[in-house]
Amino acid sequence: MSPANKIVVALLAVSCAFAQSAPVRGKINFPTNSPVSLLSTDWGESGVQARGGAMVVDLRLSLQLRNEDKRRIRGVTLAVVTQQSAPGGKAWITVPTLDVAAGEVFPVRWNVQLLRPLQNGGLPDVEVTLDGVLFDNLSFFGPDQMKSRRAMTVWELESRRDRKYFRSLLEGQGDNGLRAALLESMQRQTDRKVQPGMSLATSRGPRITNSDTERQVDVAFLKMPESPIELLSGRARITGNEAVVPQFEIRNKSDRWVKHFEMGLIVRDKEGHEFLAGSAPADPSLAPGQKSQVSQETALRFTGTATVDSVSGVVTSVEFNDGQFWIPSRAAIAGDARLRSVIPPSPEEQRLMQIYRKRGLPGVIEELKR
Amino acid sequence: MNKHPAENMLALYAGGDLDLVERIRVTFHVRGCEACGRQVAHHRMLRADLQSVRERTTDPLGDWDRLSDEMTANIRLGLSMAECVGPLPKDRHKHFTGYFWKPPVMASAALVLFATAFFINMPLDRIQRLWQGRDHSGLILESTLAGIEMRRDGRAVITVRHPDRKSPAVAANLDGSMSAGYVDDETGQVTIINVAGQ
Repeated sequence: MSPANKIVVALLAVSCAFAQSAPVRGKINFPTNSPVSLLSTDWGESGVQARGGAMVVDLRLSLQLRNEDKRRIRGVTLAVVTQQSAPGGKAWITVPTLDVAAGEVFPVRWNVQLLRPLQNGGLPDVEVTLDGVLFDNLSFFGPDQMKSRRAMTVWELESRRDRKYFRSLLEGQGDNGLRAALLESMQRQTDRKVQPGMSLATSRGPRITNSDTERQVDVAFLKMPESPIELLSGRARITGNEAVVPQFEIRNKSDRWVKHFEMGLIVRDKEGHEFLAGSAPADPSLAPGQKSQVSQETALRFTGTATVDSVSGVVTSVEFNDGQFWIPSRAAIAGDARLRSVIPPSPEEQRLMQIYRKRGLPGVIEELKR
Repeated sequence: MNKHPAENMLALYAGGDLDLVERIRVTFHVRGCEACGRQVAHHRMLRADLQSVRERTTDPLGDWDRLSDEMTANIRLGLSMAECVGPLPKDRHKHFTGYFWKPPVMASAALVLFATAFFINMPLDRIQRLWQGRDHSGLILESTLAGIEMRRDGRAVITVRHPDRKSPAVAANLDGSMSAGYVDDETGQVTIINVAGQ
């Protein structure tokens, strides 16, 4: 081989070496008293590759877990961390709507890219830990650093609500009634306005300086008579494709202390399409009958040509001080055309739809009888 | 080095007009090749003659004979140089000069191809942002067809891929997190991946 060829081959080899990804050095760390045990780990095509001033950890992980507890597991959340303090190094994966009996095995898998520093002092590229396990009696195990208990509990309550609804249809109206409801649900999902590309500016940088003028509008609140929280007033700042709801006033109309609630933000664009853009959580600690102001400054922005026309709010869940939760009933959602069109199906309803698509009505009936 | 450098390369080498890489290569060859060494010496001699003629000719208009000699020498030199830079034997051209223009050209072509593919595949909104310079600094979570992307000062720092591209269910949480939920085709399980913005 001539020197010229040797030089070219050497350059190619060097560039290939830089482009090649190394295997992930991962650590899966469950507490010793964990109600789930790790049976197997498949790192698949996971890899670590240098990009700019950081390492990109491409994680395609599949775990087999076993329920070591006597209670049935309804949900699991795993935290996936490559760097604790900096952005881009933390994610968490939740698998709700499970029904895992004692001793049963279930999979958890995901596909996510995270960053870690170039030099991390010999630490593993990624650490997977257990953030929480929710059981069928709504008890919880885990450090709950990602606040997964609340989310998994709400999903479990929605799951029970929806299963009860579909089961009552099956019992009251038979196969045809259930089929009609499933088809109606599928149609609703199809008709739902697909949300445009959405971004969330969590720490606000310099504002966009363009010709769009900012305007302030009142936030309309969708009435839900059964809601323990009443939304009284609110203002939104709208600039082109960006909306900020800096503050709104609420009142606790229940007879219990409210610890936490979530308000869904419904955005209408200039063409009249409405979609649930996001959720605004708040921890007001409200006594019965008490009013409070809730503030936040996070901006919701929509990419493409979407232009925000107005913003509405609706209470989607409430947590009381005694650990109980409130979620809207199916009747309340079905009774309001706007809510029906924007509120997304619960994870359980999505799962039942998937069963219906794959296994048909007998599959759903079998699932509802479990 | 097995192949002889082209005549024009030797002529340029003799005059010190080759670039560094070529100069090193030809030096390396000439040290081990007597024939090429002689060629180089010959070119150097011609150049030295020319240089001395130039130095001696301070007023060419006053000495026509000298001017005539110089012109003749120049013509001879020109003819010699023309022979040097004339068409090369096919095998020499192929084996010696062929390698060094190909990699840069191929690299340039690959770069153009890559840039074109990159811009073609880039989402429209991002191209618009790039074009209009409307990107934000700071931390931004963004839903994409692929799932969720977190960007810091315009650079992606985290990506959550969404296996079910047909129905991405992305939810923004104004406390600074975003989630992408999907039903896993294989397991039938609902999986929700969350990304914290802070």
